[in-house]
Amino acid sequence: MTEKYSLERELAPHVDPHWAEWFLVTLRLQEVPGDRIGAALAEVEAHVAESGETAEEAFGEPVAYARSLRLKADPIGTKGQLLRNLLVVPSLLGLDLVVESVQGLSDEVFPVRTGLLVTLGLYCLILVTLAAASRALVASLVRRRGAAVAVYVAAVALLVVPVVLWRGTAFTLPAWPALLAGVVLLVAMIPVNYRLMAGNADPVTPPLPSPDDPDGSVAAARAARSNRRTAWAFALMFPVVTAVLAGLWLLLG
Amino acid sequence: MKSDTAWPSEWLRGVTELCVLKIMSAGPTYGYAIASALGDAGLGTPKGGTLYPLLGRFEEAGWVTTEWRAGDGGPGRKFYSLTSAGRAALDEQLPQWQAFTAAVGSLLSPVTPVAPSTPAALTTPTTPHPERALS
Repeated sequence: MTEKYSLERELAPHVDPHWAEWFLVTLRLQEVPGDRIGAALAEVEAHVAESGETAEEAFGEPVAYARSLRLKADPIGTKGQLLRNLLVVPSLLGLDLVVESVQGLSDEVFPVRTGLLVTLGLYCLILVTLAAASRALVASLVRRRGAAVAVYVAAVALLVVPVVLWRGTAFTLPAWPALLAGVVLLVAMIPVNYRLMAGNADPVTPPLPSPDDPDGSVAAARAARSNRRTAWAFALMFPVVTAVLAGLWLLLG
Repeated sequence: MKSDTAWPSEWLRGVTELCVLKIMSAGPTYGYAIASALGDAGLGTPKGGTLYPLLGRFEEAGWVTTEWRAGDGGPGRKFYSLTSAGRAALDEQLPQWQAFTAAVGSLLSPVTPVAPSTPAALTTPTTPHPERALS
């Protein structure tokens, strides 16, 4: 169990941890890379350690100060990142296959809905288009933050809307093979999702190693442990949620 | 001038950038040292919330390069060094500011009071003529 404020105390021992927490959270929400956040907090730490002032006295309110720095956000919406985000969809398909086939077990049929087929078609189309598009084109589309969010929301809406609108059954499959396919998909996606999350890790790191850890190996090992925990939690989230939903249906349905 | 003098913030806003550039022209330095130098110069010690965003803008503009160095038994410090672009900005702004303060100084400098009812007095030089002063 990680102690509250352990990160803040480790990175900036002279800074009020509550102030540091809000400073970190604000920059995280602005999607500033972890190394830049660590450097900004280290500069606050150096100033308050030398001046003897509190962070509040020297820098004012943490949220306003974090915003005033105008640190550059991570370039979001890069081609690789968009592709990684869309790779979550197979896990959702696995969830749908399992939950719907469990509901159809009594009739031994799995109803394949028209909307689901449309969504799968659109999903393949988006993946192929994105893979074929040049990096420059994708970058120009999502250069501005607002445009990037709009493109992403539009893509997700495009995938969700057909499932909601077209609830009619296109055809049916035997329930047990559909259930098995769903389970296989969920299990197969566990290592994919693990790598997806582990590869996106961006811990807040200090600009210089601490005197107690001159080569930074202890901090690196701790960051790696934390990263693995987060990645496992994400990778196992889909099977766990699926199991809970299917279990609830079996118990209550 | 004491370092705790509270100058009007409007005045400081106009000149802090130039003063920080000037301080950095002496060599690589770090945030707290810059704040102290401003205080020692009688301009008041700026708050971190004012100084560091300014330094960040310098970095963004390419006026400074930065380097982290280990502190003497304390936290590490981020050192700022002026680039050639930063020196060019200083070289451009410094004569402008000096011309500006000269103009303001000339306008605001005290003059010898004269009686408005004696027009001839208006043409009298404020400094005594050397020959008349001697007689």
